[in-house]
Amino acid sequence: MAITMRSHAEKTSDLERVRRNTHLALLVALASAVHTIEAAIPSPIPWLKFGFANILTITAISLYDFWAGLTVAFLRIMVGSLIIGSFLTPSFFIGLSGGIASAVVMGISYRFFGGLFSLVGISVLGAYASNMAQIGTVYLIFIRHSEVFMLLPVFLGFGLITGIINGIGGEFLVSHIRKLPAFRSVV
Amino acid sequence: MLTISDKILIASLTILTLFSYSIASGGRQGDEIRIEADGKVIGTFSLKKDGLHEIKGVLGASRIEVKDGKTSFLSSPCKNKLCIHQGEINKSGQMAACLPNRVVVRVLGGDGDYDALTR
Repeated sequence: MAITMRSHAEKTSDLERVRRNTHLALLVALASAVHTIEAAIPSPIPWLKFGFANILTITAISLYDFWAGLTVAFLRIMVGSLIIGSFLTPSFFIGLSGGIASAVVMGISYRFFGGLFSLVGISVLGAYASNMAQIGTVYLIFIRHSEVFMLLPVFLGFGLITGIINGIGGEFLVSHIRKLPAFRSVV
Repeated sequence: MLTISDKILIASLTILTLFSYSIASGGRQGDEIRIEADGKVIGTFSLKKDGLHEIKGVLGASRIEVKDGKTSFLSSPCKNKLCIHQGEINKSGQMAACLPNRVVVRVLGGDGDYDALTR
């Protein structure tokens, strides 16, 4: 099913802006849905999730820019937590710190090392940043017990695996999206 | 799809993950031990002072030794002597216990003995 969207914008710059906002809105909607569904997956460690929504963050970074990625990440955590009902709960703050840290790290590494790494490498860096930020938040705000760091190997190993999976997913998604007519003007 | 830099990154992070296993299980040397018998706290003792503690439990007296910053059960009136077989403990959070005699030795650490505090 092909969707044709017409815009009333006349200037190219306006059209660019509209297109960007529309695409980001779609990505935020998708990411929120993924975030919500993923919260239903049980896990021995409550806040440790695959983070599949990060695939959409990295898609935004790859298709657009750093701020696009940050926007998608921030908004999907907001919307997702409102839907789940975990807004402003401890797990919300933990997830927020991880998501923002991940988006920032991925955005910066893509900007400077985008040529060196494929999206897999960027995603792995983001996953690590997310896990570090989450453990850090848990330690600083909730459990000031250095024994929390005993979870470190589990997090790092798990982060590596999910980073790779998300990166591969991101690569597939971006390469497919670039072929769609709606995204033809986005390099 | 995977560039060389990707593979280097993944390889080095794998090594880092394996390395973090040794950091995580390191634990911290405890400063004091707390001995409880039959659910009641008998006392808190320093791990830095060598000594022998005779603790009276429900079955009899268990002897707990503190030596070189570590503590262990020396003798106990239980049947299995599992407490003695546990060996020495010294990291904060570690615990040795003689269940039949209801004697528990817990190593206290710098972070205090609380898992979480709300203020």
